[in-house]
Amino acid sequence: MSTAGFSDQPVTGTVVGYRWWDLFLNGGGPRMWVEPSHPQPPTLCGAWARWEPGVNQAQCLAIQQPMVIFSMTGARVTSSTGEHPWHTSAPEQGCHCGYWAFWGRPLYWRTTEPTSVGTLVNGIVPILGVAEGWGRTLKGSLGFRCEYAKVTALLAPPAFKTLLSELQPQAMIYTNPRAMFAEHPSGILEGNKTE
Amino acid sequence: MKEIEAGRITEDGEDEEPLTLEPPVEEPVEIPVEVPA
Repeated sequence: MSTAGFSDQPVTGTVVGYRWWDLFLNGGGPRMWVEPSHPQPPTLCGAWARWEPGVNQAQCLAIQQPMVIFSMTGARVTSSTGEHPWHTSAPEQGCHCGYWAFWGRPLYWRTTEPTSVGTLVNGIVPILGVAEGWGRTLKGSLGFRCEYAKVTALLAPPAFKTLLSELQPQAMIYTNPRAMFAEHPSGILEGNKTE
Repeated sequence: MKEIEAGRITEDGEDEEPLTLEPPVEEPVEIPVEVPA
């Protein structure tokens, strides 16, 4: 039996890709507000969730409550779902849930030049690295979304090397982007082979 | 430079391919212990 095309017979392998995280030096993360007078421990976060050390399991974060809309007359009209309905399993097709990374080096609004990595803005440091995933997985031409994931490598600005190795002790810490990319090729890993 | 949307892993009109992956099991390695004579 399978759901939405996912086979019950797993294939041995993992997916490896590149992505950016945000290092929140004062704790918190997406959707959270931290009072400056109550600093929290630093956290490493993706766009929507924290990445804990070790293995992370994805959940769909689409809003579970129905969307409320007011009509022109002021009457309250309730829509059944928002843009992405909530799923009991993640990732799911048609949503953006799951832990994701890209096959290519993500150069969209940041750069891998060592001089530009680690620019501190409002207590948030962008960190480039490598993620490995498995379990329920969706493969696309740009990257993947998956059920289980861990951080396998991080490109650390010198000032944050120790902090990152404490936050993600399983991750290899690099200061040279070329070395990180060379030692962690993206793709589907089957044993020692990369597709 | 093209912007990539968080969590978007396909170009427009492309399908995502579902897979179920299981990480390879690491075989335990026996390390011989030398006992001093």
